[in-house]
Amino acid sequence: MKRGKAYIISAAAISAQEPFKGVNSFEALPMEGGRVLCKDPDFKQFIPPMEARRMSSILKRTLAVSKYVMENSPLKSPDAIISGTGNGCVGDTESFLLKMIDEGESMLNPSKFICSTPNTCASQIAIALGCNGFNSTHVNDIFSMEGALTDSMMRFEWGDASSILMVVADQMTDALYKMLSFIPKLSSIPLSEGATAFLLENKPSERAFAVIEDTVQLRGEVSEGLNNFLSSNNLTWNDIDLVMTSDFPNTERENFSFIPKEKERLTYKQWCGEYLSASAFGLFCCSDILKNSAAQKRILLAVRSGANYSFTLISNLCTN
Amino acid sequence: MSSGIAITGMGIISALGIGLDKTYTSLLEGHCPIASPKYLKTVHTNLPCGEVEFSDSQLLELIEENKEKVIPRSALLGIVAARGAEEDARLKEGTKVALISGTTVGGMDITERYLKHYLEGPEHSNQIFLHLDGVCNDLIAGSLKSRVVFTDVISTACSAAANAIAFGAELIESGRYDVIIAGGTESLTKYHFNGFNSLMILDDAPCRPFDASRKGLNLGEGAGFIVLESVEHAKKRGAKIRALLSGWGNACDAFHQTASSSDGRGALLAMTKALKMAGLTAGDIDYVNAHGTGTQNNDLSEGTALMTLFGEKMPYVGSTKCFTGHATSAAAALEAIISLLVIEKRFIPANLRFETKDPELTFSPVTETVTDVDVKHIISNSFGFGGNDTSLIFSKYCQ
Repeated sequence: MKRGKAYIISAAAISAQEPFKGVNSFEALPMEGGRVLCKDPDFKQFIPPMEARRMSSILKRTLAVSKYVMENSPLKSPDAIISGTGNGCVGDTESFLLKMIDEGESMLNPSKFICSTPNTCASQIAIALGCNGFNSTHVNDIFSMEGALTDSMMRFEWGDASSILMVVADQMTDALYKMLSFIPKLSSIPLSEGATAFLLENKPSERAFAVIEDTVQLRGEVSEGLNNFLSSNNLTWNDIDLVMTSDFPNTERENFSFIPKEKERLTYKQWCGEYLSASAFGLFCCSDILKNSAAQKRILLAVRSGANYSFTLISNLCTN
Repeated sequence: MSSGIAITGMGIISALGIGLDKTYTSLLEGHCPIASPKYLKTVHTNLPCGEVEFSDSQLLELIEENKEKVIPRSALLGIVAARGAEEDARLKEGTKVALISGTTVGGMDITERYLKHYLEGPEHSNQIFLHLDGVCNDLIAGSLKSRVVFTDVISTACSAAANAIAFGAELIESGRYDVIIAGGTESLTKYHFNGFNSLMILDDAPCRPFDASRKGLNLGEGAGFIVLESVEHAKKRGAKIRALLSGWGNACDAFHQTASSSDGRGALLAMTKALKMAGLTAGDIDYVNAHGTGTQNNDLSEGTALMTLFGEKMPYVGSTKCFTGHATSAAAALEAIISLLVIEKRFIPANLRFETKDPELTFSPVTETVTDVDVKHIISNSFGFGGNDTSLIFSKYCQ
């Protein structure tokens, strides 16, 4: 079966940076411990205030960023909605759980429970956009965006969708931040959150500004696996103009030692901070760079978690 | 259209017991294990459920782990089932596999025990990440003899395992991986036991799907994993092909976060898509393993979709949640394996406790176990909160 490629026609991020802005306006976060919350857009533009009042921040953000990318595209509704999240709707989970622990197992209000499953965002977006098509949610720790992306590319291969809204998000609640603040290795980096959305199509067009060519997950044997990944796409390192890596600047560098030294390297977490599904923000940065610069034609997004890696190839359309 | 994916191994643990034989005999004999919770520490002892009959420490012993080790129950159940599947498929040690799991609660059982400690200081900080679905799946991956080269977790509430199986099938069809272990795992937790109770959809008696007087569901727990590969790959390594996964369909009801639409449009779309992929028509289906939770809303919505799809020629319909309870994200995996047993053992389990036909439905489910029946194609339905509806079609393999 021919591998599906995902052509990006609209993309946006809500993050610690100004909402819906691109790489050129991003400023580095202070490299210190602590919590950096999202800079939210005016939700009233996207969600009726009465409804928004009952919604968790992750749900508001995924709805807003989804509507924003749809409004900035010629499409009314996508054929499929695929989401990714490391930790799901953790705010509503905490509310219900803490109430149950503190007040016991009676008189519990179901409204927080109802919205606590990780698929809440994708299904609420489906309701908002009136989309009865394929709908799924990937919850695989640090590789949740990559699962959603693999799923998206396979939808295109199967031909059961020609457009897909891919939305990836995580939330940093008070309780979660408090728990994480006790972990020494997280004490020197900004802990954050974000919601990123991409509207993908199955074929090139004038409205597409970047194309995701392939994605792979490698568990161990990274050097050999990565070379195989490049060669299976008929590429060598010479074809890669920029490598975007998931480390913080000036830390952990040795963990990407298999990347040729002469390659230009860029990181993204100085802009978005650390959160489980931050690689979606990294992918957004790649797409934004390709959209606005002719200098880079192909970017390799390299994401690491312990001994496991994922690699995603994204290029401008000139390379096709 | 799919040419069909070979299923060459299955592993299961549920309230019915561990393994295929135990599951089969319990279903055949109509043995119902739904009872008051024994290991789940809840005040709601009046609400029966389908609990796996092993404590956490017994499960740790079973998988030869240190009994003091803190491992989420969903991972423990998953390890038992996934190991069972790789053994049943006779996968050689070191076989490259992708592990795709459907789960929602993940390590919630640990979180609800330790949350207050996590918030107070660093003493148990190293356990925090056990909460994550992805981390639970990695624990399963690390316990296998196979070499796991790709993992993914799908969390679409009560249809999660069905989507995991479909995703696995597509990884094979697309040529990405040769062997997939796919399924789902979910343990009972106080969290979702109370969540479902707050929605007032738990029956205080053993559930009776499709019955006019049905009052709700019973929660259950368990894990099921199946080994998927192409027919060609299975033949090449001399594996026994137990049946085929011939179609799958995913649609979104896009109606309400927890309620199903009255016309069952998501359910109908999912079934129609699956039939189309399998190259079958409704008339080819011999048995529907229904989602059939026993709630008023689901059974009416699903029943309406079945009536639209099958008209007057209704195949055997039944829910096996009256045996296992509703194992939420693992339900589709348990029901996939039950469906495969139905094909192999030529029987149809009874939809227990059905007495009165719902006046709004034109059909009744199977009330007595049917034996010596040739079942060629089965639709297994799984519908989740958020209207995440998925149908799988399992077919008899003819050489």
